[in-house]
Amino acid sequence: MTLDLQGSVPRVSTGSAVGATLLSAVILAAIFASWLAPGDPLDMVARPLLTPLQDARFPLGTDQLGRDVLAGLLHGARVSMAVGAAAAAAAIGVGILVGTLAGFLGRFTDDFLMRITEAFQTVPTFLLALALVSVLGASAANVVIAIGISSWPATARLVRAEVLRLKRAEFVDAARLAGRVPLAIAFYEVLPGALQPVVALIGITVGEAILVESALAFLGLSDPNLNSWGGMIANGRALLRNAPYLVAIPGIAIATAVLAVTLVGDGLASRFGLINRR
Amino acid sequence: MTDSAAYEANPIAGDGAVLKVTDLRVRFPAPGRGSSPVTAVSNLSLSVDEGQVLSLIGESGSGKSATLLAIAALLPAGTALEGDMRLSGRDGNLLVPGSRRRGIAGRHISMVFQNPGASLNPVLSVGSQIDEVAAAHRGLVPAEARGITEELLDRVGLPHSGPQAKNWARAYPHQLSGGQKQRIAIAAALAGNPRVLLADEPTTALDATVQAQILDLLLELVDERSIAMIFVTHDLALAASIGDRIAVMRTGRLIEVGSAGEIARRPQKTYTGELMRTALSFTRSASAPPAVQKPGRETTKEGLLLRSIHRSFPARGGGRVQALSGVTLKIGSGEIVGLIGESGSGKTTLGRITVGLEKAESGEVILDGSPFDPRGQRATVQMVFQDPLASFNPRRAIKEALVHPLRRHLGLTGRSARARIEELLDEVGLDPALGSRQPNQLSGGQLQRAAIARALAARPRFVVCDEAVASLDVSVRAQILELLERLRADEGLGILMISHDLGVVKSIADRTVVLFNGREVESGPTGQVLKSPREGYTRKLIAAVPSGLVPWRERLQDEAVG
Repeated sequence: MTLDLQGSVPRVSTGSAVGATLLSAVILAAIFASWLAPGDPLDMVARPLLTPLQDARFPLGTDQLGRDVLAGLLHGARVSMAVGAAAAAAAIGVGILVGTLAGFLGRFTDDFLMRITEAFQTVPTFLLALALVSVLGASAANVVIAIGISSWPATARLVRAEVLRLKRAEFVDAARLAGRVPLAIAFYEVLPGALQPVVALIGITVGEAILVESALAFLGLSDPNLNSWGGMIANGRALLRNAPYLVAIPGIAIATAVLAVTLVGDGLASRFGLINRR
Repeated sequence: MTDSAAYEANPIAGDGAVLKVTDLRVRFPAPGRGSSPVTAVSNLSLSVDEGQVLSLIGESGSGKSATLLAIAALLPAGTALEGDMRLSGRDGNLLVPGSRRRGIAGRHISMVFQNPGASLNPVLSVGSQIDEVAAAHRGLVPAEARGITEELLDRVGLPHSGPQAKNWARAYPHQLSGGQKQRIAIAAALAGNPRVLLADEPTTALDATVQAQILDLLLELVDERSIAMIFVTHDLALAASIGDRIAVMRTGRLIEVGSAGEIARRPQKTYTGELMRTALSFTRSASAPPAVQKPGRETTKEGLLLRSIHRSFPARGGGRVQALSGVTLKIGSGEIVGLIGESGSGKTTLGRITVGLEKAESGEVILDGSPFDPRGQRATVQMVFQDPLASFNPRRAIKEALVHPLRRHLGLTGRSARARIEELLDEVGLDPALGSRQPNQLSGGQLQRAAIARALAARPRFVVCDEAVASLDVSVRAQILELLERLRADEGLGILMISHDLGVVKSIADRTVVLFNGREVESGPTGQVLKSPREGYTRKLIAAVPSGLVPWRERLQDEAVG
């Protein structure tokens, strides 16, 4: 006999409210970048090294080549968000597929897929992405692929654990007796129930993807034709003493974006009752 | 035992009562915005005397747990408690939080929970867990309490010295069986020398023979220490056997209180009478199972035959455990076969082998004289599972679960499938509109009807019911059993009824097979097996079931004499 004493509707926490506000700001910047700052952000538009607030037309100043920092920031949001989301989607997609197959089919398939997962896990995410981009070449699509390939194991292990738990449920036996084939049971009956904890990983995975993309761009391994926050930091690095804002501004942007997605991910997770915070 | 005559006259007064609760009202805070607080218990008054057992019964949601938790001061903060609770020899209303209440719960009023596994800490040795309680009540440090702990363990039948001695105090919960864990929990509850013991379904999770031992122990303790016990259970036969008095609850109210024998024989309220009629079917041999079996069926090949089935599983820490060793069983068309046994007897494994969810290591499943092919003939043998909620995908509507067997086994799709689903739900007595609901929106009984509809969707000739009514309230249980019996009569369905509940098997099965440690102990017509069992094990199993009409204490005395 149990007594249900729960059931109060969770309120939105301050953290996730802040996160949602920041994230919408970044997303709006990404969407309206071409409208707010028309033209190519890599074009020279003014005198080099205008400091912020010096010229009303360039509120965040210009870099050593006379490029508008605000334009770079807005267009950089587009790159960070797009690459981050696409790479995280790829990583989570691969993770779900591998985790479900390994967990549900078990035996040889499980052993095989889990050894591969472990092999990927033993190499640090960033080093693997770095190696892949060096081999594949620096383009936006390759960066997405590289980050996707290097960060799926966490999702795979989580999904596998959930599938292992759920596949013993009686409704799975019932589906078997209803004559369903194993793969249909795995993806139609079991997987939807295993997805909830994955929600908690979305924020972390997207945040990590943004960081890896920035780091690759910093090293000059991201698409040279895209204006990325990491690339902006790399450019400003040489002038760190004379024009520290060239590093600080994109740096703050990266930190803000990662904080925003992490807070929102946390909020989603507690919304679904995955973590308890009072 | 005190003379209970005074209580017959005025069951609530109880002037010599140890614990007296008057006008208890329990309200839980509103579950969401805009809803009002939920009243779980209202106007409840009861009392328990020294050395007496009060059985508190009711179906799920009747408020019996809330009552018990209110007495134990275990309800969460924010719960509104009104009324008056007095413990003899103590001043003041103990429902009011504050200094008066402190030191009462856990010491003078202690509790034994339903699930002994969950109420013990898995990472501490059981001895240290009892030490802690004993020390807290006596102002000692835990290390000094080991002597007391060993005495308590000795008392609950886990002796430190003597022929069956073992160092029980140093064992961890996972090393103990369910019954042993419940003994530990009882020892911990006794550590403060309580005057009131609250028992919340303490034997529900245990096998019949273990339940019998725990009941013996509890009653011995009540008698020898003059403890007042409140025993909460949903099992009426058990309540009537163990209780000196019974209190019946329904929707948060006490609807009937009286002496156990009186209520079991002559209930005043229709509701109680209804409960008693269904619960005591095992004792009252009024309904002999109808023999529908046609003569000569035994000799035909028709039917589902399991022949010398063997199955073992890998054991923890290497080796294998033999779950089934050579069980042979036959289910004829239109026949209901009861399969009884305690947990670990292999009955669930046998059920899973019958439907083809599990493979036998040796032996064969034969359908109408030829080997059963689980892939090709899956539709022929279907299953109804124990937990109706777990047997439906929580994310899919009920009717989706019925779509698949219709499509895979009968090739029905679209409109014809929808029509058939409505027919099936109607057949099992469920409003077809409920088919679009999610599983958590239906009650246990409704879900189990839907589960039967799902099993029937494939047009099976045989259905295995694995403890299919175990999780249901008695009144719902009776309806489901009637449904199964009707299906057998109307459609010639052969049913394997797996149950640990002898009452269920007795009321429905034509033949009964008793399983023990993976072997068939006894089989034959149900009446014969349960009335005049040949084997000692079967006799022990039957004796362990509370009859409801004979007080459990008399059974203790009989044993002492015989």
